[in-house]
Amino acid sequence: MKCEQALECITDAAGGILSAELLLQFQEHITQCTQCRIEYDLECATKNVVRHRLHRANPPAALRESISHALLKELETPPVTTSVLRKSITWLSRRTTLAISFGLALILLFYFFTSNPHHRHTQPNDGNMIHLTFNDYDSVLDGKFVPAVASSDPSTIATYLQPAVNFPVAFPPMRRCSLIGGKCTHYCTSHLAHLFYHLGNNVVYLVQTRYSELSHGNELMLPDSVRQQLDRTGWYFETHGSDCNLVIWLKDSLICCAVADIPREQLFASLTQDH
Amino acid sequence: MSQLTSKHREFEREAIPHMDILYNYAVRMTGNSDDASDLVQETFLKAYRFWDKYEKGTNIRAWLFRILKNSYINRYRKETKEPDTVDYDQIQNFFNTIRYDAGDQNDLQEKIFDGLLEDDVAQALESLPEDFRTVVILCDIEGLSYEEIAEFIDCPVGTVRSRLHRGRKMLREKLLGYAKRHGYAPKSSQD
Repeated sequence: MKCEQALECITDAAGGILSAELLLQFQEHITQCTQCRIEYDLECATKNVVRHRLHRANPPAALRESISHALLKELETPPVTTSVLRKSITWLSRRTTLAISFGLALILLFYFFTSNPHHRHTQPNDGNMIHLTFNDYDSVLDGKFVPAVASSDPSTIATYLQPAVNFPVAFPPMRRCSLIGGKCTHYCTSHLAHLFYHLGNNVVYLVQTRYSELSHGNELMLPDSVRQQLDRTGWYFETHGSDCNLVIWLKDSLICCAVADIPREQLFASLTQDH
Repeated sequence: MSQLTSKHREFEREAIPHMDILYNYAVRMTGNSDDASDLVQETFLKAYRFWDKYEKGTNIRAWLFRILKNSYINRYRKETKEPDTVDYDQIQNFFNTIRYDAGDQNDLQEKIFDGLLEDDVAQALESLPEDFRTVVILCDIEGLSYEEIAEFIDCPVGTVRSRLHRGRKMLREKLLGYAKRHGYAPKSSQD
C-alpha cells in the first residue's frame, strides 16, 4: 500500500470499519511509514478526545414537560384561524412580512407575464421531467402556477418548503437573479420543490427533486439519453424556439431543472458560480 | 378529535423518544442549553404540525434531524461569527517536533490532549464550520454509522467520510493550538 492509499484509509481505520484485507495492508504500511502512522495516531487521538471529553448532554426534565405541554396546546388549538392569533409576535410579524412579499411577488409576476409575450411549449403529461418542467413554466408565465410562499430570503423559503419535501432544498447561486418565492408539490409519490426567480424582465423557474426518484421505475422519469449525459457530465441543455432554454444539472443527491426565456449562456452563467 | 388524539399518541410514541439525540446535537451546535431547548421545542412543534408529511416507515430520526438542522440554520446562521483562526505555521512546526517525539498512539494522546479540559474540546468543536461539526458530532459523540449520517445530512457516504476526516483534522489543529497556548504541549514544541 502506498501513502496516498493509506491516507484514504485512515478515517475508516480509526472508525474500525476497514475491511480485514485493507486493514492488514494498512497496518503493514504504518509500521514502516512514520508519517502515515502519525497521521493515523492523530486521527485516533482526536476521535478519542472528543468521545471521552464531551459527554452526551441529556435534555432537562423541564424541556420534556414544556414540549409535552406545547403539543397538548397545539392539539387543543382549532386548526386554521384562531391558531394564528395564538402564535407569538415573532410569528405574526413573519406572517405579515410573508403576506406583503407574497402580494408584491404576485404584482411582479403579473408585470412580467403581461410585459413578455411567451410562446407555449405544451408538452405531454407523461412524467418526463423535461416535459413537466416546460409545462410548469408555461403555467408560471400564465400566472396559474404561483409561489405558495414569497420571499427573497432563501432561509424563509426553506423553512416553508423543508418540512414538506423529503430532501434539503438547494438554492443555486443564481447570480444577478432575485428570488421571488417557492412552492412544493407532488408528482405521484415524488416530492418537488419549485423556486421562482426574476432576472431583469424574465422569470427563471427552477424545479428540483431527488435524482433517485427518477431511477427506480417511478412515474417521474428522464429519457435514457438525458440520464446518460447527466451521469457523464452533470449537465444537460435543451433549447425551445429561439431563446427558451432549459438547463438540468445534478447537485448532491438532487436533480435541478431551470428554464427561462433567456439565452442559454446567460442562464448557464447565472447557475455556474460555486458549481 | 379522536383522529387528532391518535395523531398525538402516534407522535409521542414515535418522535419524542428521539429527543436525546436532537438535544445533544442542539447543545453542541448552539453552545448552550437554553438555546438548545428552544431549538428542540421548535423542532418538535414543526414536526407535529407537519406530521402528515412524514412518510411512515422511513427514518424518523433523520427526518427530525433535518427539521432541527433547518431551524438551526434559520435561527443562528446569520449570527454565527467566523471561527477563530489558528496559526498554521506554528501548528506545522509543532507537528514536525512531535513526529520525532511520539511513540505510540496512547503516548501521543497523553502528550498532547490529556491536559485539555471539556471546555477546550467543546470550544474547538464549536468553532468548526457547520458541515464538519455535524458529522463529527454524529459520528464521534453519537456513534452513528456513516450510512446513517449520510441519511441524516442527505449526502453520499463518501462525503461523510471526507467531511469527517477534514473535520477531525481541523479539530486537532484547534486542539493543538489550545494545548500549546495552555502549555500542555511537549516542551520541545514550545520553542
